[in-house]
Amino acid sequence: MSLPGFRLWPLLKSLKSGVLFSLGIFAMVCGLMSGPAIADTECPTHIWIESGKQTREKNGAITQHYYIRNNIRNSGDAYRDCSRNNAYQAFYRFQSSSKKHPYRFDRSFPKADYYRAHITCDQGKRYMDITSESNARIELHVYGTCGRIKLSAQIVHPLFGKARSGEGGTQGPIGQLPEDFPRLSLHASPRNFYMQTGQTYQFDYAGKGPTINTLSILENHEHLADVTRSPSGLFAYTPPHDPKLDRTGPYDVKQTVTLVQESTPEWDYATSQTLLLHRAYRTHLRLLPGLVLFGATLAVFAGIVGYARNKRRP
Amino acid sequence: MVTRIRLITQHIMFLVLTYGGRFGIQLGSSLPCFSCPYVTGCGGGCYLMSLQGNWWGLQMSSANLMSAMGLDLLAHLGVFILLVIVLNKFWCGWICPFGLIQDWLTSLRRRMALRESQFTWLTRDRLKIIKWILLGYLLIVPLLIAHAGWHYDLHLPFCRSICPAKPLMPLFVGNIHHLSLDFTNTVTLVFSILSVTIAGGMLVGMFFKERFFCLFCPLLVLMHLFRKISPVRFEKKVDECLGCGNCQRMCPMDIRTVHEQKTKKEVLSEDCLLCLTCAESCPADGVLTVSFFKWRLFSSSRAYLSRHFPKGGMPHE
Repeated sequence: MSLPGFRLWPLLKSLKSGVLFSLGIFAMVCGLMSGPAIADTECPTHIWIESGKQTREKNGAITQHYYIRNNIRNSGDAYRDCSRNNAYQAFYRFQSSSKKHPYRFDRSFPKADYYRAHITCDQGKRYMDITSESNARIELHVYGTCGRIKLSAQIVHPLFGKARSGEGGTQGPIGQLPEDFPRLSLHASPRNFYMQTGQTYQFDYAGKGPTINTLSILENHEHLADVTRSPSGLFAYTPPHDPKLDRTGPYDVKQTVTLVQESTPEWDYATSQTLLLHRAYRTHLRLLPGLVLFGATLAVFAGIVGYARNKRRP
Repeated sequence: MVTRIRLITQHIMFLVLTYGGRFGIQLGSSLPCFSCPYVTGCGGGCYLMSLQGNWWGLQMSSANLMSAMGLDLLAHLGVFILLVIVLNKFWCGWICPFGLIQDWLTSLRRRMALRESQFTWLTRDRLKIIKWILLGYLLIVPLLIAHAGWHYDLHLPFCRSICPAKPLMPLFVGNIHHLSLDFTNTVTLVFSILSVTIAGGMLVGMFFKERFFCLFCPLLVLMHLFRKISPVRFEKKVDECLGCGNCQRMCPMDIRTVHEQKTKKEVLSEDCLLCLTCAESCPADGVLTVSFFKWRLFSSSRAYLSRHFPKGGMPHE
């Protein structure tokens, strides 16, 4: 006769190992999900912010939709898994225009607090909605870490809110930009609230390692050009005129991404800034033909009137 | 006297509306006169630009009317109506900066001893319809952009293709770029060619014909809609009129209504600028009267005429 325990013991033992094994797996998954770091086999080399649709709210405020894009396309990678939504952190701040000059912004942002933006994930697409109640320039940053790559993206552009009450807009908890990421800053023009093709823009890159001398320009996921650092230490880029943009209306934009990639022994960094480029307002203006036409019109009309007046004279 | 006060007022308002923004004066963008918003540092903007912009915005989304943006739109309209009701055509004869430019050109022509060009009554009557066509143009094109897929570059159609104030007014702040041709695309090129050509044609017209552009001004049509609720009254004692015809001869707009009106006492017509030239040149006591509510602003009188024009000259001679 055998005791039942003798038969049960191996069973319990294997059950115990199974439970421990499952707990271990669960703990691993939890550990992976708890921090901003993303441990995937496939990491994007860079990310950027894409500006989406604008919606006018009932109170006149404007809500801008932003997507976080990466360079991995058509792969069912875990990076697009919505359950890992804490992979990114987003921060933004506003710079309101003055009442006297509603369409003009100071060259540099005032020292305003950054707010945390809520990132939503829907069917693998991560996006943010930022609302502005007044005319304001918005600066939005996104940060994420994947493996040994520190990814960051930024966009600066105006939003024209028309709410009566409007000062700021969407506000979240106040946050601090992470210190351990490089900064790519754009020296914006105070006069032109829209960025335009044909104008030169200067970027300042504060990296983490030795001086980086190349800034890449990307358009439609394709590498377009490389810009080298000038002796003044800035990157200067003049977006070329785009015939397609010229043919469409003044409110249409194209999105160009500037990217700096840097490696240090500990980390790789990829820092991008999205430029929302409108067509040039003044570059296609030709004064001389206009003056010639104006002069010719004056001469022709003066001639016609003079002739008519003389003809009628008895 | 009235002519002199009017001239001084016109010059002050020209300075305020053209340069006022540089000194912190901002009278809003609902002004019923051609104070062009394309003038950098202007002291206020013409309502026609707001009208086209707001109307287009409304067409893009009817929900905008129910929003704060809609309230803003209605506020612009409300301010415009209020300003029109209060001062009515005084805006044209006494405040409009583009009107003053036309008066300068007339003054220059007179100094050059060139006679004014005259239209036949038939031509004059035919030209009247153009104001309505232009008003229709600036309201219909935004509809077509929003609902018929017309090109976005057609927005602000009146300002950008017709209005001569857009290329000419910025010249007073040293900006000649509005005389440029815009080669961005076909629409912008056509608009800029139209704008420069019309500006040239209008400049010649304004030199040879007093207040030539006012013959086509769509604001006059809009303002005339509110004449009945305005406290500004321009009346004629039809029974006491001598029938001399001075009012018609002196009118910069060649208006016949004042002279020919034999029954009704209200003589404020669609083209009238309320410059009061007719009342100044009327030799009959109290026949032509301009009043604000019950206060009489000016009334014609033989004594006034003989005191200010003793040699038989007339206000503009």
